[in-house]
Amino acid sequence: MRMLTGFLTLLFCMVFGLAGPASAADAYPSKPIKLVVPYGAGNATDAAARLLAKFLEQELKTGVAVVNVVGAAGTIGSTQVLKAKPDGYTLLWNHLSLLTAYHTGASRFTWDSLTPICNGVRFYKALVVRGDAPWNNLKEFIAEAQKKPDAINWGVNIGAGLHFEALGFETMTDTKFHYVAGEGEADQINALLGGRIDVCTPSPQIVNQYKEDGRIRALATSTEKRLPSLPDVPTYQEEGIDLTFVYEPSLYGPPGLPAAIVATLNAAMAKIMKNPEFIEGLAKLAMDPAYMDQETFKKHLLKLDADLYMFARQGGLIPRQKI
Amino acid sequence: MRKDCVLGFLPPLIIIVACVFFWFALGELPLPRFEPMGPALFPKIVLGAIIGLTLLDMLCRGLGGNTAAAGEKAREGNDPASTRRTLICLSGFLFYLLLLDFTDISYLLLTFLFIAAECWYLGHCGRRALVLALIVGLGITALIYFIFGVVLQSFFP
Amino acid sequence: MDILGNIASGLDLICNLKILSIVILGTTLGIMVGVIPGLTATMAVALAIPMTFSMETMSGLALLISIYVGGMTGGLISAMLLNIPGTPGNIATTFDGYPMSMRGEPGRALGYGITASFLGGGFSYLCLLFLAPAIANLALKLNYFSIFSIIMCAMVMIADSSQGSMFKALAAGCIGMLAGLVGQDPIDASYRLTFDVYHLSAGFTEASVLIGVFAIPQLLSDMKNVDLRCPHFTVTYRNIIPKLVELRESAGLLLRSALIGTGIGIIPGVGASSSAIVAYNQAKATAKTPEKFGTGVKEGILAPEAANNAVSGGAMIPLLTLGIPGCPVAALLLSGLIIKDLQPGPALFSNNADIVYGFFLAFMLANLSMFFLMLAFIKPFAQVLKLPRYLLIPPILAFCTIGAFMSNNTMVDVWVLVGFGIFGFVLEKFGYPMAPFVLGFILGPPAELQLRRGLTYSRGDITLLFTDPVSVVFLILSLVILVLPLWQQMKLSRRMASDAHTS
Repeated sequence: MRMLTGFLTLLFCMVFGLAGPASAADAYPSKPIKLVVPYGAGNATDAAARLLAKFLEQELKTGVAVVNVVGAAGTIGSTQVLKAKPDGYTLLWNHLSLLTAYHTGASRFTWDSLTPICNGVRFYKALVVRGDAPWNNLKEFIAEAQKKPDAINWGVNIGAGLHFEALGFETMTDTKFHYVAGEGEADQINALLGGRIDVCTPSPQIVNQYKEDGRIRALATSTEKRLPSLPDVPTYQEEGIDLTFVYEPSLYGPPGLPAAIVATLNAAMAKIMKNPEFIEGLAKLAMDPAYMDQETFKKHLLKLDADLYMFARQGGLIPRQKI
Repeated sequence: MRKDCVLGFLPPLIIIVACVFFWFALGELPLPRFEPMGPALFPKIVLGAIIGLTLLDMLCRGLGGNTAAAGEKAREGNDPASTRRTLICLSGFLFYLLLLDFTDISYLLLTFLFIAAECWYLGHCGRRALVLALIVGLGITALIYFIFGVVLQSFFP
Repeated sequence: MDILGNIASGLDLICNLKILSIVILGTTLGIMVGVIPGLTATMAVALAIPMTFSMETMSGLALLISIYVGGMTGGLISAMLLNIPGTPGNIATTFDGYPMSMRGEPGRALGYGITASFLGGGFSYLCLLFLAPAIANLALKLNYFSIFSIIMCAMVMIADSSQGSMFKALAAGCIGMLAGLVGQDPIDASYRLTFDVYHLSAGFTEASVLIGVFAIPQLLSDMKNVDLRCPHFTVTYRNIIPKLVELRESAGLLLRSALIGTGIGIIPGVGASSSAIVAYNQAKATAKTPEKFGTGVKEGILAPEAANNAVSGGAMIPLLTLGIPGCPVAALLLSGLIIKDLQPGPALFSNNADIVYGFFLAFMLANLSMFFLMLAFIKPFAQVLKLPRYLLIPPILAFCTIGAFMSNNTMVDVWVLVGFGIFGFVLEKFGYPMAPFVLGFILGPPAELQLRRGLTYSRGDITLLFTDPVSVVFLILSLVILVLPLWQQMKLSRRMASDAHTS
C-alpha cells in the first residue's frame, strides 16, 4: 500500500513536473493579449476596444482581454503599458488624452515614450446640456457664457481630451467656464442630470438615448460634417467656431516593441478595418474606422502634438516641470 | 508590570514614528493646480488622524490602567512548542512562495509538495497523517489544476 | 413605462430550460468559488466573462448574474466556518457567525445567513423590478459631499462595532486608508507613498489585502491551536431552517437591513462591505442586549447578510440606468452588457425592455436557486468543521496563493497578501482590529475622490460639506456614533482608575 502510494506520487510528480508553464518561444501571439483601456467600462473608447477585441481575437487566433485601468486622465493605464514587457502581450488603447495629459502635466511622458503601432477608429463628441436648460441653441449658450464668466459648470476629466475640448472652446469663443472634476461619460451624465454640472461633452450616441425623455439636449457636435445620427444638431464649424475635435483611439505598445510584432499587429488591424461587420459595429457606436499604418501614424501624432501644445499655451496652461 | 507598561506603549510609538516618516515622504508632491486639495493633503489628514488617535489611546490607557492590555496578552497562552510550530509552518509557506517566484520549478509539483509536507508536519508527523497528507495534496493540486488550468484556461506562476 | 408588460416579456425570455440550467450551473459555480477562501466572487465573474462571448445575450448575462449571486453567498460559508470572509461583504458576518459555529451550532448559523441572504437579496430585486427608474432619479441627486459623509459614517460605524478600544479601531481604519492611498493619485497622477517601487505604482490589489489580512492571521492562530476541535454537533434540517417565529421577530431588522443594503448599493463606489457593517451596527444599536453581539447572536448574522445581498440589487440600478457600476462586479457586468451591444441608459429600458427585465428576473431566479442549493449543501459544508485542522490549513494557503496570483497574473499580489497578512497579525496582537483596516482600505480612495471632486464643484468652498442636507444628516450621525462610546469609555477608564486606586 505504501509502495503503491509512493509510486503513484512519483508518477504524478513526473507528469506535472513536465507540464510546465506555457513556453514563450512559440510564434507571436501564443498567449492571450491584454488590452489596457485607461478609462472606465462603458464609455465610447471602451466600447470600441471591446468591439476591436472581438475581431482581433478572430484575426490573431488568441484571446484578447480588455482591462480597464481608470484614473488621472488615462495616465495610470498608460503608465502600466509603459512599464510592461515589450513582448506584445500588453497593449494600450488610448487617444489624444495621452498627449493632452502630458501637456497639462498629469503625465510625465507622451506618445514618443511608447511604441505607436497604428491608428484605430475615430469618433467625435457632442456638446450637451440638460433638457430644461435656458439655452435653446449654441449662440444663446455662448452669449450667456460671455456675460457670466466662470459661472457655468463644465464637467471634464482633468488633463484628458474632454478638458482640452473645453479649453479649445473657450479659446475660440472667448468665454470662461468653471471646471468640475469627473471621470468618463457615465459619470458626466450622472452629474449633468443631477444638476452638479451644466454642460459636458459625451459621445453623440448618448443624446439619442435621451431623445425620448428629453432630459438631455445636444447643442452642437465637434465633427466636420453633421452626424447622420443627429441631423438637427449643427457642428461647431457651422456656428462659426473653428473647432473640430476628433478622438482617435489607437493602439500603442511598450517602448522597444520588436518590429515583427508591430508588423503582425498592423496587418491584423488593417484587415479588421476593412471588415464590413466591424464597420457596421462601429457605426452603431457612431464611429468610423481610421486606420493609419505606423509611419503615417507617427507623422500624424507629431502634428497633433504640436497643435495641442499650442492649445495648451493659448489656454493658459503651463505644463508642470518635467521630472 | 513595568515591562508590560513599556511594551504596551511600544507599538503606538512605532506607529507614530512611521507616520512622521510618511509625512515627510509625501513632502515633495506638487501643489494643486486644478483643485484646491492636491495630492498630498488627504494623506496628510489621514496621517494626522492616526497620530492623534494613537496619542488619545495612549492617554486613555495611561488613565485607565494597563489591565486591559495585560489581559489580552495573558489570554494568548504562549506555549513555546506551538509557537515554534507556527514559525516553521510560516517559513515553509514563505519558502514555497520563494521557490514559485524565483525558480522555474513547476507550480503543480511545488504545490503538491507544499501541501503534503505541511499537512504531514502539522499532523505531528504520524503515519496516518502522512497518507492523508499525500491524498489531500494530490486532491487539492488536481482540483486547482482542473479549475484554473482546464475550466478557466489561465496560467500558473 | 408598462412595468407589468415588461416583466411579462422578461419572464418570457428567461423561462426556458436552457436559461434555468445555466442559472443553476452558474450559482453552483459561484458558491464553489465563494466557499474557497482565497477566491472571491469578483474573480469568478471576471474569469467567466470570456465564456459569455459565444453565448446568447440572455444566457451570458444569466451566467454572470448567477455566478455573482452564488459567489456572494458562498463567501458567508467560509466566513462562518473558517473565520475568513469570502468577499468584503462577509466581513461583518464573521463577527457573530464564527462564534456561533464554534459553539457547536454551525448549521444554525449557516441557516440564518442563507435565509437572510435570500430575503435581503429578494427584497432588493423586487425593488429593482418595480422601482428601478424611480430610484434612479433619486440617486442622481446625491452630491459629492453626501457620498463622502456616508462613507465617513460607515467608517465610524465599523470602528464602533469592533472589539476593544475605539481609538485603536479608528486608527486601524485610518491606517487602512493610508494603505489604500498608496499608488497614483486619481486626479493628478502623482505617485504617493510608492518610494519609486514599480510594483507599488498601481497600489495594492484589494483582494490580496482583504484575504491576506483576514486569512493569514486566522491561519497562523489555527496553526498554533492545531489540535483544537470544534464541539461535537449534528446538523439536521430541522435545526438549519430558522423557525418562522424567529423570522417574524426579526422581520423589522431584516427589512431595515435590506433597505440599508439597497440604499448603499445605489451609491456608486461604496459597496457591500460598508452595507454589511452599517446593518450590523444598526442591529446592535436597536437590540435589547447589545453586549451579546460578537458572541454568536442571530441578529448579528441576519443583519449583515441581508444587507450585503441587497447591495447587488441596488447596484444594478445605476448600472442599467446610467452605466455607473456601483461595485467591482457591476463593472464586470457592464462590460458583459457592452460586449453584447447593450448601452445602459433610458434607451435600454425602452428598446430592450425584455432583456432588462429578464436581467432583473435572472437575479431573482439565481437568488431562489442559491437558496435551495445552499440548503442542500449546508450539511456537507458543515462537516468541514469536523475535519482535522492540519488537513485544512495548507490547502487554504495554496488557494490563497493561486487566488491572489489570478487577479493580475503576477506573484507581486501573492507577496502583498503575505505581507499584509503578517502586518495584520502583528497589529491584531496589539489590539488593532482588522475589519476597520480593510474597510478603510476599500473606502479611503473613493472618499478622497468625492471630496476633491466636490471641492472643484464648490470652487474650494468646504462649507458645502456642512450645508447639504444629506451630508449633514450623516455627519451628525457619525458624530453621535463617535462621541457616545468614547465618552462612555473615558468614563469607564476613569472609574476603573479610581477603583484601582481605592482597592
